[in-house]
Amino acid sequence: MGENALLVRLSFAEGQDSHAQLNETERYTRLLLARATGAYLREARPDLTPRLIVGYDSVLFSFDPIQDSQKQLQSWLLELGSSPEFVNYLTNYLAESETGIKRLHRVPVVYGGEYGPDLAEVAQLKNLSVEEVIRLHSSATYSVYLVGFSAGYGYMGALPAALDLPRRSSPRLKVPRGTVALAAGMTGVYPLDMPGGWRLIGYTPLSVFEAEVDPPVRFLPGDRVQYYPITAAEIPCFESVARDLSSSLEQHNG
Amino acid sequence: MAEQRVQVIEAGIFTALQDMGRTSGQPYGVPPGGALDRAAHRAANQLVGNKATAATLEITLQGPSLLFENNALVSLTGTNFRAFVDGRAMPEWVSLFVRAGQLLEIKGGGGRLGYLAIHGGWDAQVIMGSRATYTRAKLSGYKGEGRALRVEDILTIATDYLEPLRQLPEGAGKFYPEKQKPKYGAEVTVRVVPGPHTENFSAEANQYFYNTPYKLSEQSDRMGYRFQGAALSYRRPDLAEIAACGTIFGTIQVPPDGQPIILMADHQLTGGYPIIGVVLSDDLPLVAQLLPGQKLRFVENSPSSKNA
Repeated sequence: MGENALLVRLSFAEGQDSHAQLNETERYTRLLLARATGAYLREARPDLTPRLIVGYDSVLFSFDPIQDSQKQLQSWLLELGSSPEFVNYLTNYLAESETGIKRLHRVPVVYGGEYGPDLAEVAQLKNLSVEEVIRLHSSATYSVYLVGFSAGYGYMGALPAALDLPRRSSPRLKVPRGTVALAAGMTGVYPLDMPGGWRLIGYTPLSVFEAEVDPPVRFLPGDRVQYYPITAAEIPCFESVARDLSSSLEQHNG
Repeated sequence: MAEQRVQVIEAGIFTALQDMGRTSGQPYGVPPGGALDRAAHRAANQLVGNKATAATLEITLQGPSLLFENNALVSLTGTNFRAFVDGRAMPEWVSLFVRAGQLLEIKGGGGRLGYLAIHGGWDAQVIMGSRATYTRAKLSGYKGEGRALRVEDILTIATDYLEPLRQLPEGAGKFYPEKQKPKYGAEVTVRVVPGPHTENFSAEANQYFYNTPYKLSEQSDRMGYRFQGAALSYRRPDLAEIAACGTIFGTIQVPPDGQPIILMADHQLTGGYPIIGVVLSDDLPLVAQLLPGQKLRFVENSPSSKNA
């Protein structure tokens, strides 16, 4: 991609040529494969790590044309695709992703009202009560698919099918940081004040991006996330610990 | 030696510290950021004996006015500005000695972005390997506040020179070679490496993209420049959305309205719109300096022609 970057893409199965044709399981498997490929490349070439971006079904990395030639990198990647070592690595990675220990984040959310201006509309569009939307959203355990779009934005899924809605037809110019939103089969937390087209259902006082903490983000790909309802009166006590990105972490199996 | 200081007398429209961008942070969704016109930024640094990674002041449309408390070696590059030192016109793309007590005023002259370098580079908090101002996350930049300059700010100087100059005036009067300057203009042609999703577009789209001009829209910022022209359609409606895919500075995305967007320094790191191509990095300065209404044409560049 361009002259100083390479995009490694998963090919589609015979007869398929678009993301839209895939079901949720197929998409998730492709995501894990992309993540595994990213992990392999990070181990094989640690120097490329800071410039490597794992997508939903691809891995993008920039290289320094003084150190690496595009041709050599391309042939290395092509050979990799058929090497037994790489295939083994992917197989193990997929197996571990099912059984390995995951970080679990429990995220407190004030649902609705001024904190989640689209909650009532989401309920209405899905023929649910507001309480049912809250119960559905807060009873699922999500997996962090990707961290992208902007600093610390974790795309999490799968959203219960009963809550699935497309993005709003026109994005809002400013969504406040901490806003919990859903769209396109996923949910997530806006890490910063920014424009956004997702549907806003609540607010968490937990900070998800702190530039000076390492890592600077709360959610990392593969982490598990659960949401639970709190009241607006409880916001201040969470805000006192909100800057510590590790505060809500616990290890759990599966 | 006392700390060197420069006072901000007038801030300008949007004047912010920039450099070559963050070297880490991409895995966490933090954009690389940095100077929009990397060539002008690098040239400004080169003229005053700095490393390319030293911070310059990126000036948008007009301003600032700066009062120098100490002697300094400076340079201004980019597109047209009118700059004055104590009222005397200051040339661009030249290194210049400024005396303690002198006032440097930079006024609008029709250009979009200017870069003011100082020997040693402007100082600021380094986060993720960079001093680049990222306003959205309030990262780096002036006092680490991630914001544009304001009146009464005090700028300080770092030590990002190649070698310290004992006699600043000796570094003055250097001209940047005319041949090496980007060929800026109100109508530019930029080379494009076809992107990973060209097969998502209709045959007409590929035809229009390389054969018709696109005009810069007013809805353009450090994240992306939006263009208006012949709409680029997809081959099928379901090819409008791709699985979120990594992006780089120069990536050309096409959302469903068919109007291309070139992702700039503060771009989001993943995108869900098909990528029709990527602008060669050498040509990005030409894009960066366009003003709304100015025109651009894309020409295809095969990936093998560079990078042997």
